[in-house]
Amino acid sequence: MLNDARIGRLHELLESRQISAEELITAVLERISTLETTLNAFITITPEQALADAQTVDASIARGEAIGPLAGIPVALKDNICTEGVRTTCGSRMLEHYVPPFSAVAYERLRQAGAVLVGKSNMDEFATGTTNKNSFFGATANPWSPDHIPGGSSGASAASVAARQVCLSIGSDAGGSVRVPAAHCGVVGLKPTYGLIPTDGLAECAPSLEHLGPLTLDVTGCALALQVLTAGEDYTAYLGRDIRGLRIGIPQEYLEQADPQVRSLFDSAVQMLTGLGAEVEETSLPHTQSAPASYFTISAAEAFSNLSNFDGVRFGHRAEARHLHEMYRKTRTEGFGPDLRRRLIFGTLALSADHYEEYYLNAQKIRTLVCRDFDQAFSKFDLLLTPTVPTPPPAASLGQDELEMRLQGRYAMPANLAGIPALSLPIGFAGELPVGLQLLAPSLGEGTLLSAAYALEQLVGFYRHASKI
Amino acid sequence: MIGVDEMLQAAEAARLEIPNDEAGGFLTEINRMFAFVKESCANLDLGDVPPTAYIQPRMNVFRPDEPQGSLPLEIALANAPDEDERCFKVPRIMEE
Repeated sequence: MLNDARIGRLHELLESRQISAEELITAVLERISTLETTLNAFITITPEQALADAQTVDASIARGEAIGPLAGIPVALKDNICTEGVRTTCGSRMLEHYVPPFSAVAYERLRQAGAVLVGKSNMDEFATGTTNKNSFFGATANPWSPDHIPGGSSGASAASVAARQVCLSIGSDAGGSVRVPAAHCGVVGLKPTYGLIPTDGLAECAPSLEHLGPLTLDVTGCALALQVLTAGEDYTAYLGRDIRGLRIGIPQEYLEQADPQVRSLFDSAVQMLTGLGAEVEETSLPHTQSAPASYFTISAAEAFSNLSNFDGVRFGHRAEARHLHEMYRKTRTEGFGPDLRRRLIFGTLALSADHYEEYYLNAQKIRTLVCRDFDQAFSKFDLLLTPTVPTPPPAASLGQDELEMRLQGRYAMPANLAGIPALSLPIGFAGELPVGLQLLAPSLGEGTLLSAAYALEQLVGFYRHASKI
Repeated sequence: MIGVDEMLQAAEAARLEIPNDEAGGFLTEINRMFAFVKESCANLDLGDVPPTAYIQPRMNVFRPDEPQGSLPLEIALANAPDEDERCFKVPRIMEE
């Protein structure tokens, strides 16, 4: 049943009563149970509620009611998305026992569509990381090769889809956190236009950069999920369209540091699109190399401000202390991991009077230049095409050079600074490890993204490959 | 370059402590990050470039000012590390 776990196919099986939602959820829960010692993709699993929700969907089908495309589909939510009554930890000791009193809007929409929550995905602490090694609940493995990282910070979200533990996962993306793991785990990952999916109920670190986005095995599943998550248009209407004449730009700055295997797969994908009639041309986004500096500074500064309410007073971890200020310091020092604390201190310094102009203000100015680059490019092109990540997934055993690891997301960050939609599509293997291609469109250009990604997917067909685990 | 004292001052502002065994590594990484950012800006003329704080041009999008329900007290206090008489309880404020 889970060999082909694409949402559209499972919907057909459910609708035609070839399988029941209860059977599907039972199979998924068994698979999660079997793989968790190797993958560690879940912080919390919700079997009782999942089976009860599946029975509700089955009852609806039995009554002859029409079901939506996500009804009965097993879904995982990254553990920074609030779920009423279900623990939400952000991968942190700070929220180890936190149970939210409300649910995120995105989760409410999924529930209303009949999607079945089976668990909360592991993640880098407070979504600050690119490895999924910085979780209080342990690292997540890459299902194609457990010795390699799945990417981050939504690494477990991507790993669980690739390993067929779920059919849909929702991650968050402030600087590539959906697309980088999607590329490393061989799944489709979409960061939509800023604000298109409401982030209410998401524990955000960097609100001006933060997005929610779906991870799925194929582009059709991504389109189906996007429709529900945006409460918007039917994005499947864009699939199967002729892409002849689509103007695609290849920004050369994104190829300069690409690994030769990544470059080779990227060039093959470009040839496929050309073969489909797209008009492909080289272009330039001259401020690409400065974008990571802007992202690092803005995200750290916003995290310093946004995480200030984790103080041990109303919720979360509290340290033993003699007086209030000592409680604040000890609570935050014990509750946050070292990587996050370092970023908070960097953010504090970047905002301090002595450094504000040189660092934070300049980062915001670079953001303007990055936006202008995209505006100029999209005056000429419908889409831009880049590798999602410069390299295949690194080995988990590599010493963690913080800056180098964070630069894994360098091709993904500019889209967050500009708020434009971007999708990672798996296009092949470097050895046994997946490689992704990134498509970027102007704001609200999700239809064009999905249209081109679907056309390419029909030639690549990556979803037919099963991960090693 | 940031010195140890300045880093500790920032940690205090962020309500964080830096254990002795982490201080050296923290300082190295933070300075590396500052050097990276500085180098990335080095060849850019940013003088007349306006900053972008928020990507969307919308301002002051208000909802109707209508009273809404709030969390029941027991739910609001359910995650409290400590409580007393329907209030969040914290240690004494004054240092001894």
